[in-house]
Amino acid sequence: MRNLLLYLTLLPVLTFAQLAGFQEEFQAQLNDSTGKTHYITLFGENSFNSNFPSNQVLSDALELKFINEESKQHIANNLSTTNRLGGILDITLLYKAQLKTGLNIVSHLRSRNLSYSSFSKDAFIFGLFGNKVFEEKTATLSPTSLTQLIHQDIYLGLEKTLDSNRFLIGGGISFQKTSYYRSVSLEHSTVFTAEYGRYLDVEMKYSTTETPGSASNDFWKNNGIGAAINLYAVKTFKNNNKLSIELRDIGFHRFQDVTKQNIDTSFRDEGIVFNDLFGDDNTTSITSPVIVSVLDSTHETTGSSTIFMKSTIHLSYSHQFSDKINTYSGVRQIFPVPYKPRIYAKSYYQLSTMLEVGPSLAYGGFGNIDSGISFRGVLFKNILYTFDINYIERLFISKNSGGQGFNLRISSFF
Amino acid sequence: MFYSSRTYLPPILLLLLLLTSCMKDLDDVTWDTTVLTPLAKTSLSIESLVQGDSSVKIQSDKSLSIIYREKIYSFTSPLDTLVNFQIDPLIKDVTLQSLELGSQNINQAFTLQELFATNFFLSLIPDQVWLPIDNPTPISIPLSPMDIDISNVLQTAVLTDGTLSTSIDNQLPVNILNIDLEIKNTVGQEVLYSKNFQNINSGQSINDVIDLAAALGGQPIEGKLTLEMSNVQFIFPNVDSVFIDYSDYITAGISLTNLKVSSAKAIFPAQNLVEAKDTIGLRGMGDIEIKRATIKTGAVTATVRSTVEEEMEMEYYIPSATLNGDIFSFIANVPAAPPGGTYEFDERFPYDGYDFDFTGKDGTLTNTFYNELFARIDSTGKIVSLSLDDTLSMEIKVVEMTPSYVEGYLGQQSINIPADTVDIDVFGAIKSGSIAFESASLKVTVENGLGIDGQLNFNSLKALNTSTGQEVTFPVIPPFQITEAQNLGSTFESSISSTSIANAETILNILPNKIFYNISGDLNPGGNTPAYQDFVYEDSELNAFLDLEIPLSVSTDKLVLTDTAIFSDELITAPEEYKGGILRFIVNNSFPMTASFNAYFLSPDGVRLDSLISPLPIASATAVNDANSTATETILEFPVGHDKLANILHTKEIIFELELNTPPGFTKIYSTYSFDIQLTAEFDYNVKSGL
Repeated sequence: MRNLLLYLTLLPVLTFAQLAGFQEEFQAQLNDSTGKTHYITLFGENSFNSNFPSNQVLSDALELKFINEESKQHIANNLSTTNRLGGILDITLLYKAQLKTGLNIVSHLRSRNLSYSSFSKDAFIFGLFGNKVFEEKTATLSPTSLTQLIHQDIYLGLEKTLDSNRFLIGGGISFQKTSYYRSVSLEHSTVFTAEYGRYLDVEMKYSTTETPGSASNDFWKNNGIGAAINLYAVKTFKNNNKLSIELRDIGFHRFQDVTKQNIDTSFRDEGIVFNDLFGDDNTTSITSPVIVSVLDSTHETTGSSTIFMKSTIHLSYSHQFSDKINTYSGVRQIFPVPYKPRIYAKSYYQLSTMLEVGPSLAYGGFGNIDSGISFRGVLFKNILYTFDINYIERLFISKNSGGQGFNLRISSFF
Repeated sequence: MFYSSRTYLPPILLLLLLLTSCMKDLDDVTWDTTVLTPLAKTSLSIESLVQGDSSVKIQSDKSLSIIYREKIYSFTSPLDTLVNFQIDPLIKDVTLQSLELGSQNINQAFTLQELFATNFFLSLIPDQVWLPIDNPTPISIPLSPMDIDISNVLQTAVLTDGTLSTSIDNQLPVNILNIDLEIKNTVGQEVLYSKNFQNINSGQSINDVIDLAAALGGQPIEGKLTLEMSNVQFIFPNVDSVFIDYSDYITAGISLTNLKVSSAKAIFPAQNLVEAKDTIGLRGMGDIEIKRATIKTGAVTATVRSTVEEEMEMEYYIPSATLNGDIFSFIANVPAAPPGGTYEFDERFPYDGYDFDFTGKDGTLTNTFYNELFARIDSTGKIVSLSLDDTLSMEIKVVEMTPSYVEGYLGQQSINIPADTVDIDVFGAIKSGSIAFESASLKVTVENGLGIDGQLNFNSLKALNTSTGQEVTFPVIPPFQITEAQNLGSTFESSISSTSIANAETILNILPNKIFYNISGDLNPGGNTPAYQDFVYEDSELNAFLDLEIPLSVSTDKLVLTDTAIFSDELITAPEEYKGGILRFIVNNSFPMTASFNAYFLSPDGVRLDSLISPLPIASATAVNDANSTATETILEFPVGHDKLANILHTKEIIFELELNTPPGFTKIYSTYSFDIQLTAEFDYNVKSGL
């Protein structure tokens, strides 16, 4: 029970610590007019972002293994009423082949680790500072939630080019194996700390859903299956400008054996009540009535459960200003997660065939405004690479930034 | 100048590895928190401080008195001591007193046609005709002997008594002039009966009765007999004619009745073999006279040894033992003994819960009860051999009679009470300092749950304080007359008698922890008066108490109360994450006295590990007006570092000390006063993310 209460208070912090990566835009790569009939690419994304300045704390954590008072206070001063934090770790191996002119087959293998959280300001402070700062005050720990979803996909689809290769439509179906899923939600939870800690008034409405195992060591475990479809279309305009729209991961996960736990309780904790300290019965029980109260209000069930997949809708536009300058802009939304539509823009300037470089600017997602720098080019005549360093502002204003991550793509036509 | 692909790809891959390894590194991150938490809460009123068997009595003005009662003598389970039932067994070793056989009736008829067939001329007379009669003459008819077979019910018997009845019924159209009737054993040819009958007219019958046992003279009667009718002569009546009807007949009837045998091989009818009705007395009762008792446990054992080759039924009754209106009885089946052998039978029949009337069959006696024993055979329809030489041994024992209630006269008895001491712990919590009581009362109370009057003699009573060596002898208490309890039917109401002891304050001033007593007692000192009204229930007790009442108007000077609390047996280790903090005792005191609070923590082997010493006294209440006072809050802060916490958590026992100081003079304590104590902690805790 002590671990449960501690876990709840630390939930936002744990979220912060466990999320990994931020998913950069994923735009359908078309089999353009290279003359090659096969295409293979390895894509990796590892990033996270938050709408509060988390990088200083993360830096402390990684370098010192200790979050000092200054870092904690800096975060506390910059928290909103509701805060969010999320990360994506995505590795995809994609293969595309031309079946005949204008018709391609596409397949990929993907492993995806999506973690996100939203939490109240009080919950974060409660976890980082303890309840002393709330003496004679009420800490509102809700709404706070944490979701972790790790799954692996296999995808098979077709692409068809029309209008003399000026219009491409594609789609396919993927099947998922879920290795881990956990959802924790504090729907209504408050803690009032009386002067000197004379008592704690606690209201707690808490629910969890979790598959067996853990996020760290059950990659190969199969806790559920799912299916989804992807649909996308690309319109190529004059001057090779392109407008694309894609819908990805429209489907569901079904978990075979999840444990659901609900706690809905309120109690006043005054510690252990001794009714007969000097009495004849000299044996003192140290069982807390609070534990009894929480255990009595805990309802646990085990069974199957189905959720919607975390889907993506992405609209992008690329414009070629000249032979050396290309720009990309778009908007992406992941749902249903605490994610703001991410609007971005970036450009490349060609320094040589081996290297193009350019800045990027974005707003939304799990955080607010962020910027980055992108590199791409051709190596060894046939190896294409793209490398995006996101949230580059952390290099200059680390204390006030909240994201970090990168995308890396290596591909080849043959 | 731009890097070539060979130069910047390795750093990119390195960065990839670094970022993907971040999450694992975060598992060991820590940060400090400060936690405020309640630990415990208690309220110490005067009831909490009073220990042992004491209680607190609240007076109408809310002032308090300590009520303390110590049992200094107890006479329990009195029935085990006062009453011991011993009952002689009921033993019946018997031979069979008599054996009866059932009656036998045999009728033998001869038709006219059968008689005519023995004579050629007569056989010529047709049936259903009128036969003219002219000058009739006697006609002799030879009849062959006839077998009479009753071996299906009697094969052989030696009679001690019995009657043989014979009859001849003449329904022939002729008169019988003479007939000789003889009955004898077919095999042994012993003649049972022989008789001459004459002049039996048509339509007439005659009878004869003899003593068959005498006729046999000790010879057995067999199951196969021979009936002989000889010298049979008849004559037609002197009329004009007679109607010849072949179906007319003459009947010879034989009846064997009241057959009693010394031995027989036969089918025996139902009959009692043993019948005993006795009165049984309780042994060794001295002058105790029991009229009635309810038996908690007990049983009747029945031991039977039988050579009787017939199944028997054994019945036993104690009419004066009843349970819910049913008398105590049992019926047991005693199987037939094997031919020439003995059957043994041993059974136990409990009579738990039965009410026994010990006033005998006519209700005028004591210590006795009436019982009945029967052994009977029932008709089985089988031929068996029985003899008056067969034996039947029956032993009935009423054993292990343990009463739950007795009534009557329980005699004059002395109660043996060894001199002894008893502990009293009313002042056990006082470790040091002084306390003075403004007043006190002390008395001896006897609660008698026995329905017997008596007398207790307090030969000596002393109060002892073994710590200081002080002792005070109680003033002389005159012999204590104890009245009997009241019988309420199924339970009782104890009588209560008490006497006050003078100079109670003198006795209490030494704060005694032991009482020495030397007591003797007698029951029924006046004899059986009123007559037979004594009773005792199994849960009746006679108890003597020392009753103490101390009004809580006290003067204390550095009075230290102590108590020890046992902590959990589990060994709890102070967590490394604990970085130190403050324990706060928040005390709201509504007593008009100051106090200090200390706690000492002992290891499992009794070594003092650490302590919490009150940094300042707990302030007295203010605005004290009799029962009303305004509590004063005092916050006692105890810094507790990691090592001190480790010592506290390693504690097996905690000794609490409370030092009380009243203002000068006597201070009256009211029920409204209390120490309300909250224990809270404020501590720094280092949180590790890898939960």
